[in-house]
Amino acid sequence: MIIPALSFFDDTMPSQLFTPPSSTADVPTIRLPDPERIFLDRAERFDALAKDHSLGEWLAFMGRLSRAQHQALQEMTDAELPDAESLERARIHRMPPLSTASFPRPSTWRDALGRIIELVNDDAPEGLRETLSTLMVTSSEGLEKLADQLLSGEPDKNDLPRLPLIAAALQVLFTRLAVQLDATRLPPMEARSICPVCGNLPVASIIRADGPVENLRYAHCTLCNTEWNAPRATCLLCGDDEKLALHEIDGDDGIARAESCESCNSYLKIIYQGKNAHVDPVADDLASIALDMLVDEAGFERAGPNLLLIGAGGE
Amino acid sequence: MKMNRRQFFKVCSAGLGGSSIALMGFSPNAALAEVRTFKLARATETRNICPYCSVSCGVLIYSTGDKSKNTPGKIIHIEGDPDNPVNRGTLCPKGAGLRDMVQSANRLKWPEVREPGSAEWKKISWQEAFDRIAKHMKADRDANFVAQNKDGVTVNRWTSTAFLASSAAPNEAGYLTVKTIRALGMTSIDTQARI
Repeated sequence: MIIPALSFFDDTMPSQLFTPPSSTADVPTIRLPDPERIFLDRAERFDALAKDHSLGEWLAFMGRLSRAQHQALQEMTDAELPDAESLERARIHRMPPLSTASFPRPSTWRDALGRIIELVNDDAPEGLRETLSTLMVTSSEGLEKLADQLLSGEPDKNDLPRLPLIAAALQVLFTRLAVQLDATRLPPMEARSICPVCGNLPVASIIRADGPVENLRYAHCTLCNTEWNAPRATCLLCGDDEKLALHEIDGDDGIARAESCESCNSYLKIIYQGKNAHVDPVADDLASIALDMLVDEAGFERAGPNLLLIGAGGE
Repeated sequence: MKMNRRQFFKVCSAGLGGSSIALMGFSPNAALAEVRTFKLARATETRNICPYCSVSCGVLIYSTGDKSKNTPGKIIHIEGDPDNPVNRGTLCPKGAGLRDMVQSANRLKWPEVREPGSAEWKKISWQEAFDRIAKHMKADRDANFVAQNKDGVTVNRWTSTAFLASSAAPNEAGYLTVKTIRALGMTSIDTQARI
């Protein structure tokens, strides 16, 4: 069997030639999201990805959803953080300060949900209208229950079409919470697969071309959009660095690759910003689900969820 | 019915039809048809250290080929390792050309000798090379070894031959190099790492 070479490499001289190295101190370990840009940039990326894509209509709708998230985030007031003592305790014990398992969730996410539904309703496909109107009249308790089930990773199959919207609103809340934190006072997590803000899993990792040191890898939280540095060529889940492989769809643009690990049998995608300055881990992850399907067939299990796509695992 | 966490993360072709994509009102059929025409390309990413100089820059080496399936490996790309605190992803022009060095047609792959008076380089075996080197070393050492200096102090030195060590050697190889060379009494020792 002949294994084709990755199309990514053109083998010209690296662009970073002669750039003086920055000191380690300049490199951010944790990058909190920019509340002005995160969802807007994502929406623009979804718009670009939707063109000529086999899932174009869905991606375009995800773009409108991201734009609604942006609007809801701008309108959301700061939420109450845990007190200074709790934050310090979390730091000392290396626990995420806003762990979704224990942090009492402010109710403002339900306002965000209402706003998002209002904003996407007009352009929603016929099939989704009913879901949206059902969500509008769901009780507070009902919504909190949906959120709890989603964040526990064990939702009910009957709630499938509702869950990406619930997730979208929770992303707004946890992004708002994350930006209120001081990135320099967050705990250094021993596990590279856990978000140091909310304790959730990464949706993908991104090789950043826009930091003080080019091409460092950051894992991107599926919920709060926080990014944390993770060494390259190392499994995010189990830390192994010997049984890894990179997979991409033969002949594509090389923006998304799956890093698989034979030690723990998992994979997660890596998104390369050096290939396109506008990439977004959430949007590019969804646009490359063909890669998921092939790597799944190769026998690897995905290591973290994309909360905007639920229930694609079959029976 | 509740999903388990594995199902929650998984994205597979059998699952798309029942996923939130379809249930939100979008057809996954075109994507499912398309994926059957795709195939996966595979590469591995390996950390290493540049062999050229004592800075010891970290590099990431990309190669195709699967060791377990007897496919011959081929290096397709080498770049600076951004995680390495020494070079933070940067490389000098020599390091940036590493892949060409690895794959160079002019790369020396076996010992060669040019006999005195000959213009030709001749390929020899490693064993022949070791024997020749050992003979030359012994002859020169026997002829020029200084056991005592002019004041009668024991010095045991051999100043007429020098040793140039590899730059790609780890600490352990460096330790063994010095132990071996100093045991012979050789005083001039240097390493390619300084060049």
